[in-house]
Amino acid sequence: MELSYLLMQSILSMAVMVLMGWAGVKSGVLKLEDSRVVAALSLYIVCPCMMLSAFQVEFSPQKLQGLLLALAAAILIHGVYILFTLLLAGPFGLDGVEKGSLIYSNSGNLIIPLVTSLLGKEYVLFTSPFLTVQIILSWTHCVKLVCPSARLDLWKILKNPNILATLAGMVLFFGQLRLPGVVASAVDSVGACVGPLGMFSIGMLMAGADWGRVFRSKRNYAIVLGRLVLYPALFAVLVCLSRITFWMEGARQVLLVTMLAACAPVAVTISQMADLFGADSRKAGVLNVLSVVFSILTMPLLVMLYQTIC
Amino acid sequence: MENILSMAFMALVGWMAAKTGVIRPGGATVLSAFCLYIICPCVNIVAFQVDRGPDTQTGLLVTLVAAVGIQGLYLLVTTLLAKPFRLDAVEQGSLIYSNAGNLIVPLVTAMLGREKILYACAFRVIQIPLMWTHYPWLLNPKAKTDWLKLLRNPNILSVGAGLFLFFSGLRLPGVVSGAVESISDCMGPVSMFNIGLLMAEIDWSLLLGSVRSWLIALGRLVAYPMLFILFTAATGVTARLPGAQEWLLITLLACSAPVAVNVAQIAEVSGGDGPRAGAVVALSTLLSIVTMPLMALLYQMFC
Repeated sequence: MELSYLLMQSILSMAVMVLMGWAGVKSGVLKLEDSRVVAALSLYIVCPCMMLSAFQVEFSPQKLQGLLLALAAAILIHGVYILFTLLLAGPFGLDGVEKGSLIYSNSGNLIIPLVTSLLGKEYVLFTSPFLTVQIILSWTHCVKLVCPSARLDLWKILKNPNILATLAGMVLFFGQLRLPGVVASAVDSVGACVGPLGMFSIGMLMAGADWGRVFRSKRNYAIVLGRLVLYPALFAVLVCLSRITFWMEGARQVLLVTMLAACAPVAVTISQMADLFGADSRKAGVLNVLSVVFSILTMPLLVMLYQTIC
Repeated sequence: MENILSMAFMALVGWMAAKTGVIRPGGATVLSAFCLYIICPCVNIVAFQVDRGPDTQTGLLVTLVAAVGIQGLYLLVTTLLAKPFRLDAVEQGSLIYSNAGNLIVPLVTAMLGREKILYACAFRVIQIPLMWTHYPWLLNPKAKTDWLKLLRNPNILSVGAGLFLFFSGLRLPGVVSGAVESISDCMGPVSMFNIGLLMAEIDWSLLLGSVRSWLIALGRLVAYPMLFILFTAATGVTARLPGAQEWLLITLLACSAPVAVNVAQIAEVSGGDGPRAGAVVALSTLLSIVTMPLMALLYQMFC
């Protein structure tokens, strides 16, 4: 209960930042296109720094075990989501953007700051397996979903700054190498910007949204509730059935991180990819905005559900 | 020293981001707007969210008096120097106005802690109105000062709000203060990136041949802060008043900062030589990596 309350508070505090980004555009201080600069900064510099600094912790067998558990959970849940979406796609006539929105959550720039403020910096480490699995899938499977004729660029996945930073972080973690003080403090303080910058860019994007369109379509509500309630509940039920939180020490906290990632709103990458590959990027943007708005309520509720049954 | 190097490293990252094309040209303008309109106001408000003990009030008073004194002195000295050295408006502005905001705030936070930022704000409260009235007047004596615009400057507004909260003892509600605090923590990285981006867009050839620019930069970074050290040492206030040494260290840092980025920005809009002002900003920022720790050392020896 207390954690849900804290979560609600963190999410609201992030909503305040979103509001600031939104107000920045609405008041004319910032332009709508400026969100690209912020997004580039966040994707190419700030997030990789966050990843690097997450891995700058003491190596211990427990942490390795936690990482492996989180990796297994991430692979499994993505598999389940993809299968489940395939099953739903036929009867409901889901299109590519809708499928992508159901499967892929915003596990990066939303979850990392949440985990930092809720569980502490040392838990950020456990967001990386989910992120890694997601990035790989989103540049392969998701691209195919959004644009079936797109050619896959495996090179691009490897060059993704977050993947590179995760690899570098892992090398440093397993080798127990520490960055020199000057670089480490720079990386730490840059990484700490992940929350505000991510929220600003979401707010700036929202300022460009057509709100009438956002709230009108009933179908969009259904997709968003699927992403925010049904899919994460699926994860909670699977964890509950496996009983893993009862016999493995520390599993409850590690899987809570996975749970948070699983109940996040629709990934921003869906809109970006739709934009890039000429699919319906407006619809993707609408789904994204709508899911961010609802997540303020649903995320604390689902965390409460997780804590009750797992 | 370590803090300054770590900040220089962030500027380097920003520079590389611009050079590799990750951030497009023009990105610096976006980040400046961000700093000016969103991050700085948050910093100013957070700075004043501290307990209003007698110590804090004395400190605030001391730093305010010091800020008025030193900036008055700088104005005077610069006016005296202007004739014999034929300093133009941009040069005078570069000597007087230091980057007391987006460089000093993160530095003070890293070195002394967040609760000390309000003493840096005391310097800015004096500097900002001066910089937006006196300096445009230097550039163009005929232009009328837009007082309303000055009042609407987000920094002035937020310092006003911060002071109000401080004296009334009001605290922001948890959700808002959480947001404002984490935004204010971005001040260092974002403004360093910004400086890095600006440096990537600078025409360095403007500087190589210009002995004058080097002299101006060194005047700003060495001669002017030394004036402050001399005066503080002469008054002997640090020996008499407990805590004064730390408070005035913050004023010293503000005095020994590189040329304010605003000097180039205002020159641009008021018809001065913007690119050259930008080059002096960049040069002094680079040199400050060495001079600022030296000045702090000197201060600690004499005061």
